[in-house]
Amino acid sequence: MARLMCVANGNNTSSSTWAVIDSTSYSESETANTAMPTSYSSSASLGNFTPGAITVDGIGIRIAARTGTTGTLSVELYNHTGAASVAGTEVTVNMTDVVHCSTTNLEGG
Amino acid sequence: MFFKFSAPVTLLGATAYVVRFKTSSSSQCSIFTGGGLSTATRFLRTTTTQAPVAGDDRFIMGEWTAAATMTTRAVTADDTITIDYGSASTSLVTPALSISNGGTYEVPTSASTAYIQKISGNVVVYSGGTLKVGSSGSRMPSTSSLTWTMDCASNVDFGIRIKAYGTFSAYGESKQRITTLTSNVSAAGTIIPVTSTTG
Repeated sequence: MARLMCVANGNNTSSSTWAVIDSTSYSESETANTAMPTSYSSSASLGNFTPGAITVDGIGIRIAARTGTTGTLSVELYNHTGAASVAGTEVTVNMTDVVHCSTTNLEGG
Repeated sequence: MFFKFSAPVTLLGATAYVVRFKTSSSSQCSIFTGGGLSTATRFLRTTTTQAPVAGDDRFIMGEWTAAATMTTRAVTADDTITIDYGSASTSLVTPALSISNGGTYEVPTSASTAYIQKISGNVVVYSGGTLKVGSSGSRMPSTSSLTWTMDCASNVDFGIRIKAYGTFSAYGESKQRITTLTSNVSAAGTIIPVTSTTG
């Protein structure tokens, strides 16, 4: 069983439409939610994973609730072993880009 | 929500990584976790492409590359043979088909085509996601069909959940539901002339 994410517009049956999600990095839950910090957390406080020498092109997360629309949201991939951010992996969006969602309806995806 | 890098990155073997996140202002949003930041929801997408097969779970969502810049993604459900997608999880947290903001899963409307969707697992359309069968301008014709099977082992194992601000739409061919007599008909009449005999 694989988890695939759409990588291009196209037919469901086409191999060029889907890319594999790395299984070691995959973590999904709706058990709880935690407010996003205003600075990157210490990597020791975050769950790490060892995916191997693979090539990746993006990060997925699930927003539980958008409680404000001020400022920006940033994500990045960080090398926990080498204690350094992975170059070219930080992406920043506006909080207004985050879709409306709340923990009441669990509609954040 | 998916954040796409400016270019693919090749990771190092035998190296541990974490996904980090932050907002510029406090109290703007929260992230789903299993009980703390160490269990925050996340995944990495690889550059390895492949067609889905039986048992696979699928995710469709837009790709954010910068502020106010998202590439939407649309997948055409072109299956005409049966493939039982989905890992058969009964949890709504781990659907077989997830459609999130910026993502669309749409059944096409070609003539004389029997479209098929079979899924073992839930289908969840999240806020900003779209599940559609045709459109008002391109309706499913009478010569075609869509058979959508939720392959449950027990009653209500799986279903389709459209969450708040998610969209589901389906359009079939317009039909004329009524017609009118073209002339009076007596009570003993055996022929009823009408304007239209087609639906």
